[in-house]
Amino acid sequence: MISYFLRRLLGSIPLLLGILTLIFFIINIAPGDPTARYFNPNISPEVIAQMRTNLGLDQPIHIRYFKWLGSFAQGDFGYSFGQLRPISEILPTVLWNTLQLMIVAVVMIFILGMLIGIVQAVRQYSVVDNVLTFFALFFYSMPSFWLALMLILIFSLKASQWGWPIQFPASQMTSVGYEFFSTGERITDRFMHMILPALALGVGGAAGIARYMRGSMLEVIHQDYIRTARAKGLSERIVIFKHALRNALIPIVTLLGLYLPILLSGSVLVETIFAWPGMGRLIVDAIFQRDYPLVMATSFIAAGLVVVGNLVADVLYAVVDPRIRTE
Amino acid sequence: MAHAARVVRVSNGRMKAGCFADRRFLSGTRGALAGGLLFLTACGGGRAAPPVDPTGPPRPGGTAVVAVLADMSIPLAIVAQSVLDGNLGGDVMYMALVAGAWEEGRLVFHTAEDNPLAMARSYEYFGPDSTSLRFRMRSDLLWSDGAPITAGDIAYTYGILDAPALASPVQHYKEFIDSVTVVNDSTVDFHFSRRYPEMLSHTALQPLPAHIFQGTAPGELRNHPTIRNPEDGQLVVSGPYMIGSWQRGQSVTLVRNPNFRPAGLLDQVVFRVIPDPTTRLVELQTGRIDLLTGITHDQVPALRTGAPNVRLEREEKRFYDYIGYNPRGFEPFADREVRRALGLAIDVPGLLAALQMEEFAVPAGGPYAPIFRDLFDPVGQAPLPWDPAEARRILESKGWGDSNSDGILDRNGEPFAFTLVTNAGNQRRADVSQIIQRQWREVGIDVRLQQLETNTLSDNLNRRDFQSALFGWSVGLTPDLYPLWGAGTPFNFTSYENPEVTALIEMARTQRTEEAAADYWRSAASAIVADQPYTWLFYLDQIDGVSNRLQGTRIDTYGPYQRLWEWWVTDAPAAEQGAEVASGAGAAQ
Amino acid sequence: MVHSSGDVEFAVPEPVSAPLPAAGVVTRAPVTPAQYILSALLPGSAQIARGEWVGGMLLAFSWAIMLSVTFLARGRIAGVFTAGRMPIDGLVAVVTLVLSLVTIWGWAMYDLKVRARRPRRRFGDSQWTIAARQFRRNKLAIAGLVVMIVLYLMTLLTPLLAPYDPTAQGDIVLTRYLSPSFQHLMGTDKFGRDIFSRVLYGARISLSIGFIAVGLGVVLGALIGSVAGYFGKWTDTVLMRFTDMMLSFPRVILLIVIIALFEPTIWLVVTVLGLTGWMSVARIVRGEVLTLREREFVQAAKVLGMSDARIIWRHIIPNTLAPVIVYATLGIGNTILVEASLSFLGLGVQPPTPSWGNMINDGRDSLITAWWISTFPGLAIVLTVVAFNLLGDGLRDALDPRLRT
Repeated sequence: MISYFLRRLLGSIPLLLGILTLIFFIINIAPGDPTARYFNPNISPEVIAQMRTNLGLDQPIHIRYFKWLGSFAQGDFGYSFGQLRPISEILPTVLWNTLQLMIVAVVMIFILGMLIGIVQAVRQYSVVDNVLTFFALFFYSMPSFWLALMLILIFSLKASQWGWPIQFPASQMTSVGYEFFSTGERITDRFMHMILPALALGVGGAAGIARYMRGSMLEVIHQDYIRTARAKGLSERIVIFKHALRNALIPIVTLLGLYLPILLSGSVLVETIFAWPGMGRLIVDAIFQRDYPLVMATSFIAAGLVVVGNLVADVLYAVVDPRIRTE
Repeated sequence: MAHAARVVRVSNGRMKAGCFADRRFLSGTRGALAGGLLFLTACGGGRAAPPVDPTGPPRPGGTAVVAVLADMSIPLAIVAQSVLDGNLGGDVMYMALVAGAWEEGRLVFHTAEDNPLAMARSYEYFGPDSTSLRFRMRSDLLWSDGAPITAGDIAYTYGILDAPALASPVQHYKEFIDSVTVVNDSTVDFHFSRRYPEMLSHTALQPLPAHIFQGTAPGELRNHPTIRNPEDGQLVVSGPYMIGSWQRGQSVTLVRNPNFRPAGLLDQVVFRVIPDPTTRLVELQTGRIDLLTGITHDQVPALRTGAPNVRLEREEKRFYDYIGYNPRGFEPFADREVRRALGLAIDVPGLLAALQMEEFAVPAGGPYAPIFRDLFDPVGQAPLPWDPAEARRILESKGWGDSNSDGILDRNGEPFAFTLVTNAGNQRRADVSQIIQRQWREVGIDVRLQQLETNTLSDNLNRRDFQSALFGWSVGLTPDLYPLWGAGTPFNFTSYENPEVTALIEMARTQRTEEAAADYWRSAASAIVADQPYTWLFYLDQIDGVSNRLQGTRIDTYGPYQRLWEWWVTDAPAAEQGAEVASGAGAAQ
Repeated sequence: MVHSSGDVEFAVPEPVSAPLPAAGVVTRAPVTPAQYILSALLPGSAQIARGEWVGGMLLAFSWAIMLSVTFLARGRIAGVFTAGRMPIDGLVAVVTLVLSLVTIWGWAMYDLKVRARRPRRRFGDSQWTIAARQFRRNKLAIAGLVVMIVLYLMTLLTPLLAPYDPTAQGDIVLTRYLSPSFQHLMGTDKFGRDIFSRVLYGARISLSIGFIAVGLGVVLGALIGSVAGYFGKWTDTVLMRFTDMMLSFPRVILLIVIIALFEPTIWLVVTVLGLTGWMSVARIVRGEVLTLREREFVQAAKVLGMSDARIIWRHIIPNTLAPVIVYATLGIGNTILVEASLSFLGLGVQPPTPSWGNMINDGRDSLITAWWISTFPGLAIVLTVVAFNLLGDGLRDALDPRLRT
């Protein structure tokens, strides 16, 4: 088992290297330049040339690639052109900020999605099934940025204009003056800032999970052992939650790995709209600024997250499905 | 101040990330520019507004929150990189020998008498042909760590300015400075290689604390511990506020510098990074931020109707948008009459009215905005009239007719069709380009619109790989036309070259005084306008929204963050905190 | 009416050609000549007369709608033929209109004829017929299908339906920001352009992008997946590693990198969406092929000396179609969403061409004062994607035998 995961982990190294090489050449060959930030007629071309030399951009691309590869292999991500500090200093905070958001979103996605899916499966083709299907799909079919804007307009702007008792902040992770808050206030404050972005990020996913859960549940419900369980006279609740759910969960759990890249993609726009200082925003900013080392580092983290996500899914799969544990 | 109170009326339009590049231009020249026109603005009544008393006396204490588009990247004026770097480094955290001001259409420089941000009590020209400047500095000045600010700091700063490893974007300040000599602790001399108009402005760079950075190589300056971790006042500054905390990508919190006089009224000024324009607007309307710069024209009606507690102020005529024609990309642009015809076909006032921008923009005719008293020439730099008939006549005389009657002009089988590029993410330019597309279509010109990501666009402009571009510049307050119009300079995108203009620019640059140079600059500008390498579209104000909770702001052409020590909030806590401030204790952390 | 809705699971499969048993067959009343005449005059009326209300009303309604479109757009139809150079989209619209009219009329007659003659069958269904019956039970999926058909019909008929030119700017000061009214069903935007017309034209762009990009992805994915699965060994390893590599990168980020760096044209957007959307298909197809490869009919084809290409094309790919169709249906909706996200970043379809994504983005600054500008295109996206998802889910339920009740 462990050797299997080790092999998987080792197998993902060429994979990561491949995608990073691809990204390196795309971003370096593409038009644009990190010094375009000094797009200023008063700055002489000599100064720009100096800057390029200081950044090491005057060297040919293959030299830069091997230099990058060399330092990358030693675990050195380099120095961000835009933020002017080592990338190893930038990443931990940013990654943690995104993970917080993603964890909340994932928990929400799975709990909400599974509950809806179970109800739908148990009542297949009923009015409840149809109504839930439609509502889940309604949110699933909404562009996430559109949902985010609507959430802000309703729960922040309108809530404030109409004097609702609960008004949500539209940006960032904490309020101004957070450092003076008591512990209780801090928790509430963080929670309030988290809700809207997590909803915008997760609602679509929850609808997706609900659909899979419904399918998976339906498949299980029609199997013989469920019929047997019912025939034994077990209550419907026990049949569904104890016998059916456990097996229906197996394919759902593997989705966890699949949802990581989806959430990361979603976080690009959601983090920008909610001014959430996370990975998604960092990646886009780095691309737009041609901050090459930061693009490479964030790409690595993004791809790495996906690999880890898939591994996690495999582990979970083994946990819930005893059949493959013995292999 | 020349301009009195003025009320901003309803308008609509948009200004977004597109002024990004513009702001860079501004921040680069910022050291030399200061002061400006004061517009006190009044707006709206209070519907559900909490009781505020903006007329009451300023009270110390409290926190103001400012929304910014992007984070600070380095808290040093001389290597400023992002917009916020330039703003904080230039206006808030550091003093300079003299502080500029915009008075009656001219750039002037104030001494400590008029502006507490100026270090010099007085200055005088001396030496042969007045090529030297002597500054007498205030002797009571202290850095935020308590060390005295001396002439040595100034000599140190100018000493490292042109180090290649530093790659300072403002090293052109030193171009004609031969040496900076320390006479005594509070007297410093600048020796220039020749007499020229911008001498004084080139001495207005924000000096660094020599006692902190002396042992650091210029190339390592960006990595100095106090730069890398400037929090808790670690960064030694001379201006009214210093950095209390800095959460990267989120916010910069400024706290009072205890050694600056007059002490700032606010305990804290928080700059929060909010990239999305809609979110920023909502946060302003819900009162979570107090100052929002760069409001788009489209957002103004919502603010006027839905945010009674917000007043609109503006930074007057700071930008102009233009269309540049590149003869290398599309051969017919080589003919100046053709370029003029293209300009005549555009109805700028109609365009501004259509986009509800007329309140915040005026038609533009040339490189100098009407705010320049000595340089603007209402005749030589007048906006082109809208005359599609004349445009058609000119084009016809150049052989462009609609021979296959498909509505598009053609010549020798080639249709008059080209691409107009602009930067993505700027709604105003996207809107303007769509209206111009239609107006050109009416005289038979077929233009394809293309939005490019800003960095890609600037690359294309640099490589002269475009046909025509809708872009903008910020209006530098110095008159120099050379960077944009000098033959072969990198930012002369349209490869414009006219010997007469080159000669006039050369003459202007060698004049001894501004007064003498102004005539040449004006003639050069008129000559450029006559050649129409650009179609100048409009000069534009930047619109800033300020919550009525925040008072004492001074927002004008120079920028939004001036005289930060005079800002105050109407809900500032009562007198106890005031006493604390008076005793010089640092602000709460 | 004994077995009119016979339960499939308990039905015994029999060859189609077998004589139909007399018992349990529902026959219908013969069709009278009067009913034929009725149907020829007004399609659907004969069905109504025979008591088949649902089918009849549907036919009659669609006939009426198509006729009124023809009537209302008669000026434009004439315009298509009198124009100096015949506009291609106008021609397509007219052809579509005629074809739809013919189809409705023909279907009404055919339905009458067939139903009267042929009794309902209980036995001998192919995989596809079973799926079709299963699908028909799913009301939501049918609704999705109907919306999809209507959408595609509308995109084809847009030149006849749209009340205004989507890019025309009139006197902007007078016509901008008009709220929804009878003149402008969905109001006007800041240039005074009619939102309803733009939504219609935007549908063409957005649906085409979805369709072409997914088509590209499916073809590419099916090709790679079947080659990998069929040949196995190192081919499989190399191709699947590559697939994994592409799959392990967040798609939006890849899209932003590529589109931001090159000139965004509609073709670049479509191509890039297609080139980043094939991986799931490749995996699905490969999985199917791996099991198919060992099946008897493939082995038999090999023994018979068929070429690999022919085996893949004739025997493997048709049998992997079911999951691919499901994926493609869901993928179109998803692609429309991704295009909207790109437009939000200014990297999508270029103005003044309307796509739903850039219309939303255009209106977001005036969301508070003129909500209709971005709300209607937003709703159009939601409606379309919902329809595609309902359809896709319905197809999955129908095509996957394990999910049947």
